[in-house]
Amino acid sequence: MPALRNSGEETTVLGRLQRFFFAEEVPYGLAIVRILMPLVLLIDVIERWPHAREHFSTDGATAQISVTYGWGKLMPEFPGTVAVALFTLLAFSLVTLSVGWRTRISAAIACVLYPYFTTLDSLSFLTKYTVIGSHVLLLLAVSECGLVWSVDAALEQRRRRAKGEPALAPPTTSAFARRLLQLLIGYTYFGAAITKMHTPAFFSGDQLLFWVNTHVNHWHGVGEYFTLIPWAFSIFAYIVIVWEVLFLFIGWRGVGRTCMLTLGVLFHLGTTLILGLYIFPMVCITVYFAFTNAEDVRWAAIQFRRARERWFGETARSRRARRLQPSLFDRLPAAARIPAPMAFAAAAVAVTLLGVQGEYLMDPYGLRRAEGPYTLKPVGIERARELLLTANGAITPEDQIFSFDMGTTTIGGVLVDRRQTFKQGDCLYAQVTFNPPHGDMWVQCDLHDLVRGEGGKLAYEYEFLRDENGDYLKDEEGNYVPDKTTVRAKLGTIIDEVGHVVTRDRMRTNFGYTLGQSLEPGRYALVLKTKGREVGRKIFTVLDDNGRALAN
Amino acid sequence: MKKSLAVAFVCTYLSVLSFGIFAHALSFMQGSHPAMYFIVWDMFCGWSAYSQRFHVIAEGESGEWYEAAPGPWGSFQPFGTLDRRHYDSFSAHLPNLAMNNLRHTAHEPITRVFVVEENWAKKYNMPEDVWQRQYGTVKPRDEQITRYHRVRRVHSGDGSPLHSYTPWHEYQVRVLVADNPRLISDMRRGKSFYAPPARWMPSVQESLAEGSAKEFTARPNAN
Repeated sequence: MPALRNSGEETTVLGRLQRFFFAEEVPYGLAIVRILMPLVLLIDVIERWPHAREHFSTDGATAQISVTYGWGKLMPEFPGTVAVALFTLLAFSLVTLSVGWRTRISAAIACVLYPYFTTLDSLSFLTKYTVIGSHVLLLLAVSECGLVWSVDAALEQRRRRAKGEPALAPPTTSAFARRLLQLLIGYTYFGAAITKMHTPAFFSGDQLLFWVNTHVNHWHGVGEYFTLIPWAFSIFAYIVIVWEVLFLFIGWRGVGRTCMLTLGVLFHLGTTLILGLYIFPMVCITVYFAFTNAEDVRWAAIQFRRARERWFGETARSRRARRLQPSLFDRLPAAARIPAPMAFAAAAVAVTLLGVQGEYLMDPYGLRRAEGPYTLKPVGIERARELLLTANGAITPEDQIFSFDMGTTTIGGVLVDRRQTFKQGDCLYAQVTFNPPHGDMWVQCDLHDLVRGEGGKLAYEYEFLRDENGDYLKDEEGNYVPDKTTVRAKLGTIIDEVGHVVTRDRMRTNFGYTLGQSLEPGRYALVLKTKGREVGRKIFTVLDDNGRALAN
Repeated sequence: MKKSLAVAFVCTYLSVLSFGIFAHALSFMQGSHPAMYFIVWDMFCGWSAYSQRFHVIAEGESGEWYEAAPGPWGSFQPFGTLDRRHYDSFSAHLPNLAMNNLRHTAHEPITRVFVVEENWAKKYNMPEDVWQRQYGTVKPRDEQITRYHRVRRVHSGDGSPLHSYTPWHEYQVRVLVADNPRLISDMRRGKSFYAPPARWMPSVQESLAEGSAKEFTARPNAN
């Protein structure tokens, strides 16, 4: 190695690239990815197996991604039984790839069938994590990831022992597949950063604000609480984009690698808790193991040995004795030692047939039920009317407003300290956040003095008229009709009226108030109106210098 | 030979990944082919203020209505509690799903299949306690939330497409933009006069309102 480092080859760009991609190494990192990734992908495959006929065959409803792109059906589709057989074979190949049995052929089968099936069902199978999974399977298929920690390696050792040959040192292979895995995750993050750069609402936190309230992923109850601190999204946004851009450049070794991978794990755990992504983090964190090198494995082995010594009292002698014991493969009876390719083929055929038979017995469409095929579930005429005849209504003013908050400080344009108590001299911001799309709007904010009722204009709030069914009546413009005979509450005296035009591209607008000495301590209300209708109200207290709210 | 193949693979693979980044960064050919999905890393969903769901209903010859998706044998929820059909945001595959369900069930002759989009503001997705802390009020009950519907596709009972309409979000943007007398006036002013043959021509407003229930009921089964 030192000779190579001193050679002229190492100093040229080509030489460095040569060393980067084609240095010989024991493929520990690849082996860990090989063991974990198929197991992660298997979760989705097992979940979808009972629906294979419906999602992936001509006897079902495929949803090819090429149709969405306007290319029609580019992938061949097979009859239901064939699709079930191939899907079962995919599950089998993922298991054998994970254990490293006929690793190359298992990876090849998985790397063809997995992307094939994901593209057949773009609704519920094709996602960006399945794309990353497809890339990983391709790279595993062209690599020699089964050289260590695999059934193939164990069988090879047994063969050598049977022939009386000495055991080999861990075999080495070219590093290119591991390097490509590292580059793949770096490119993925870099691409994700570009997406964020294209999305200004990502940096203001608005994009994440709506995402945490989106229920299309798994449970993410923690995320909804971030609605109360939307400014945190803005901070996360900048940290994430810096990490995503830097990953490709400094995540290779040393402190940079530790920082990037640690941030990555935290980021992906965050996406689980805040956004409800479960498999995606598992896929990405699995790829991180491609950053494992021989030194890491040596360090982990030492830790593991110390742990065994500490917890199980293992000594060097007992360890040697354990190593001399025949392995599971050595203990197999001679009759069971059929050639591996034949055993693999026989197992693949047996599992596939078992899968086909099992699916037949499940009868997913219920066509062989004693009572005959299923019947369609009726929909009431009222429901049909609701769906078809209430279409295309204008968005109500209430729905155009996401939130109406008060505070004194903003970060990234978002209120940080939402509060209801202010001191004289504070600068109060009333911030309105809108739900896009909205048109150009006139938004008005009225300041009401709730204590002093004399002078100024008096404002009232009314009940709205209802019909005999209890539904609110609306006038020709779609506004609720006030019943002026029922004054519900006197809102106090309007002491300030201010309005803004909010253009359709704006997500937020602020109303600023300086709570000077002219505004006496007491209780006040800010009433938000659009189209003449109240769409939000906040009550707050102004304290004097001594922290007292004086009452008249 | 083996090394040469490895070098070729590395170069090809990195070129493809780099092209994906280039295409994505400069919006160049990124939607040109389904294969681009495998190299363009635009991982964002949920950038909308409204939740979207889909309903697929079929009208029988008797006038009865049926749920055409999910199938009566049960739904598949791939990523949580939502049925598979709700992930078809372009509604490109929903008629196919409905036809598969019709093929495998016993039912009267079906005349039409409707794909209807439903939307509501995502703020109503907040749990009760978050809502109360955010707004200081009791969260509206389900029946108090305004839900916006829009017919997206109409197919005949044999699966032939009859109508398709723009998504609700796009429709609302168009309506909001068109809610401007000056703009409408400019649009009319800029058009040269053309007297079509004796045939009804929709106004701008009527065109913008395409897909309304009024139009739909006025022209059932129109091709």
